[in-house]
Amino acid sequence: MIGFSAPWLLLGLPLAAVPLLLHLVHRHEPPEVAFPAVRYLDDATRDHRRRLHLRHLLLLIVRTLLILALVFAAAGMRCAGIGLGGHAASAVVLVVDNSASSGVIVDGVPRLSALVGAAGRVLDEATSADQLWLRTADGPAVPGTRAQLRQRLAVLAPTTSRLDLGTAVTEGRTLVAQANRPGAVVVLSDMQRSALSASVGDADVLVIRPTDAVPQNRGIAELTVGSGPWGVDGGLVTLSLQSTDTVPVPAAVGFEGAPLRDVLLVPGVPTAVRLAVVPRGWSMLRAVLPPDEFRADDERAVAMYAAPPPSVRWDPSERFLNAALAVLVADGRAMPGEGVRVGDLGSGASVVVPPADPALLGALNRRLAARGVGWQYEGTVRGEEQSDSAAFLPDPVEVHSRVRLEPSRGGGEVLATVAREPWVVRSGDVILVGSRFEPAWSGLPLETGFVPLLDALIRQAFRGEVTLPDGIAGMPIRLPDPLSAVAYAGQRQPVEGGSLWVPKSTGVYHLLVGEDTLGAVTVLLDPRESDLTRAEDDAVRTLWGRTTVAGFEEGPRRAFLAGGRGDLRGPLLVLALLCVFAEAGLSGRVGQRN
Amino acid sequence: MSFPSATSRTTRPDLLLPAEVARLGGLEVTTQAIVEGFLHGLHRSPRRGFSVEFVEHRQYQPGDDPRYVDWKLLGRTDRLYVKQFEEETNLRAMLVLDASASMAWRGEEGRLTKLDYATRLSAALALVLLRQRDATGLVTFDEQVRDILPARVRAGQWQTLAESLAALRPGTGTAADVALTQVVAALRRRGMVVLISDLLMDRTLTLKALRFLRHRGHQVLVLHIADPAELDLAQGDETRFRDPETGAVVTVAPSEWSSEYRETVAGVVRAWGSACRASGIRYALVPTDLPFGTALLQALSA
Repeated sequence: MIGFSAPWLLLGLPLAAVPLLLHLVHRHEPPEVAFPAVRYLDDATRDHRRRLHLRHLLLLIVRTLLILALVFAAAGMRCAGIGLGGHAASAVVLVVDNSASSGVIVDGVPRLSALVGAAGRVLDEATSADQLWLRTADGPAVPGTRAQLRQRLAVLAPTTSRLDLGTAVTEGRTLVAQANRPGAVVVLSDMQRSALSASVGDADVLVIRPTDAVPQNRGIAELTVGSGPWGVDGGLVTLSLQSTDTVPVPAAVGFEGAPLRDVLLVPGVPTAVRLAVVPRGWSMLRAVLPPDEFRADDERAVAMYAAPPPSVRWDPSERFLNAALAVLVADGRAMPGEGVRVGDLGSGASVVVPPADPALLGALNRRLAARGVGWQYEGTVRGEEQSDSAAFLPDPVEVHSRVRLEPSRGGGEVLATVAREPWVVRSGDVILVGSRFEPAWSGLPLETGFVPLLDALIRQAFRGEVTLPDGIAGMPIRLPDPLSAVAYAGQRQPVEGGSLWVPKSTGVYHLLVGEDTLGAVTVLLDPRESDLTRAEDDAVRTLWGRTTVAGFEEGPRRAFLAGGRGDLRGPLLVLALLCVFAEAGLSGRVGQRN
Repeated sequence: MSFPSATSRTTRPDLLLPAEVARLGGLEVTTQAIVEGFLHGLHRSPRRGFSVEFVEHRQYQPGDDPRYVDWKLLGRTDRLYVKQFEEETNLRAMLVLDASASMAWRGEEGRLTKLDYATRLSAALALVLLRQRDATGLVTFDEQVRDILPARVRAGQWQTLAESLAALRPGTGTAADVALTQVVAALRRRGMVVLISDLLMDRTLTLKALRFLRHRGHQVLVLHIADPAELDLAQGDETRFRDPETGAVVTVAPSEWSSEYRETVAGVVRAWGSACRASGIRYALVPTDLPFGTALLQALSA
């Protein structure tokens, strides 16, 4: 797109016709004479006349060009989409993909170094008038000057977080649109296929990506220790390997601080390993692969707890409860004792169900209040209902009768609901269930999940143990209520219980209440980061639209072409100067001939 | 390239400037005067027959070889006669004259056109030959053959030739090869062919025809008639030069191109000369300011 800063000066364009007019005015008709030896004259002058005619023509063109160049330069000619004359003030959002996959080493050079280098060359093209942002996998786009962005780039390191490129490009396009000036989103990425997603917005996008071959990669896809906790006599660890080939790979697995055990992993085939000696309490289990180009998925850790089973007391007359706990005792996951009172409120950890006689609810509520429990039982609800799906109780349970649970003095954690109302809740080491463990109250005693649920309730009540699913680095996790801090790699970070928390790195985070360890969460690398397959250029163009794809060499030079407008005044003046020299040379030669 | 100076001033018409000679009278008169002067200055006949077979006498002309004077007849008649032999009377010459449009051109007002110069030179040459009792004919042509006068030696032949030459008007294009081919039929025995032309024609075809004549045993002479203004371009401003024959136009400033033009023409003359010599053909460049006597001497000094 061509534009002019002083378009009224284009009125000088007719001056370009002056050389032509002068040429025509001076072009008189010479006298004609008969001359028989015209053929000799023609032979003698043919080549010379051709050259002379050409020089006259060139002179005319050069003079016309000279005037045009001066007029256009005076009018401040600018032209979008060309690399001459710099660019007008632009808005450029640099999206530098420092996701985990940017840590891959190619030919001895970290991929991120190449991306940062290319980003630096993009900044070389920028001027102080440009509006710049830097968007990385670490967080939202940050505005800054060239110097500030260079400083950020200098300390940029691969993160364990994932960068969704479509989201980042959409954010960039929004910023460019809000800047109300020409611009583009410049994406510097390894362009993993798994990171590609749709984008909205109209701003131009320049993708600068590597052109070399995608390196081979293998990583640990799975490391699990079962439902836990383990007894101190050991347990089973399950590992699996993902790889771009089918070659078995030697791995090592074991507890942190202890010698690792060698194991041969076949890609895609889960392998179980029994670890006999287990330290008591919280431990970290590690599995390690030989290093390859992408190190981030070569090691994986998981937290586990080894302890003797909880002691449980219950009323043997409760037929279904008795049967279930007998199974747990027989399986070694519980033992008779005074640790946890199941079916009624005890002096310690308890799993409480409503009394069969509604008249006893008031007394129970008073005892709960005396224990400082944040919940109490209210009116009875009868009718056919179903439990809502939840992590604690994934399969729905038929509920025929229940006593509504209402929070008092702050309430507590809701573990399961029925009709969106609390059904299983927790307050400290007391767990309240809205229905008795009898088929007349719910289908739970007849469900296959009754025993595992009871096992989980006992452990929750016994230790206040928190079982959180594995987290993904960079993705938020809702923390349990009583939490006060998270510990990682010896560092303690205060947190607020019940809030969303985003782990920055992969590994095992211990959840602390005061000085006590409430539980642990294993934060893993997003499995999509292990797939280094690069997206096809056409797919990127099709998905995003208005997108140019380039390599590291030529890409940075085009960063300000996509949305920038070239200021042509400088090149036009240079052209005018060249025309002056050419005119002097040509007119001199023509003059000599004349 | 050199040719005799044209600045000699003498009472002999053959040595006057051609334009001055032309002002003296018509073609017949001035031609006879030229030839008289030419033969007088030569002191002998330009051609020498040496056949032993006597044919007839003819009146002595200045320039005739004294060896052929019939002294006995001088004693009886008190007049000089020379003996004519078979060889001389058998020489058959054919003048091939270019009458194309390009010949009707002169570079200056006070100069003869190439055609005027060529007709006078042809008439003089014919007169010399006929006085030697050589059968002489004439072929005129432009882009085709316009007239053919067979070679004869009878009385009145020269008047016929002179009248034909005097009546000659410039034609259009030039095609010497056609005319030269017809000369082959006109000259059944070996003889002499004189091509008088400005040679502004197809050189390849013309040389081919000339070589054919030479191959048939004829002596061949090419008189290249050229106006001095054609040999050396006059200075001047930009001018459109138009070829009167082809209509081709070239616009140049003569002052710009004089040296290149001179070199080109010299190259053309050299090319004609070397091509003719290579084929045993005599070639002479005859500028139109060259006195007729000098031109005749060039033509007959074989």
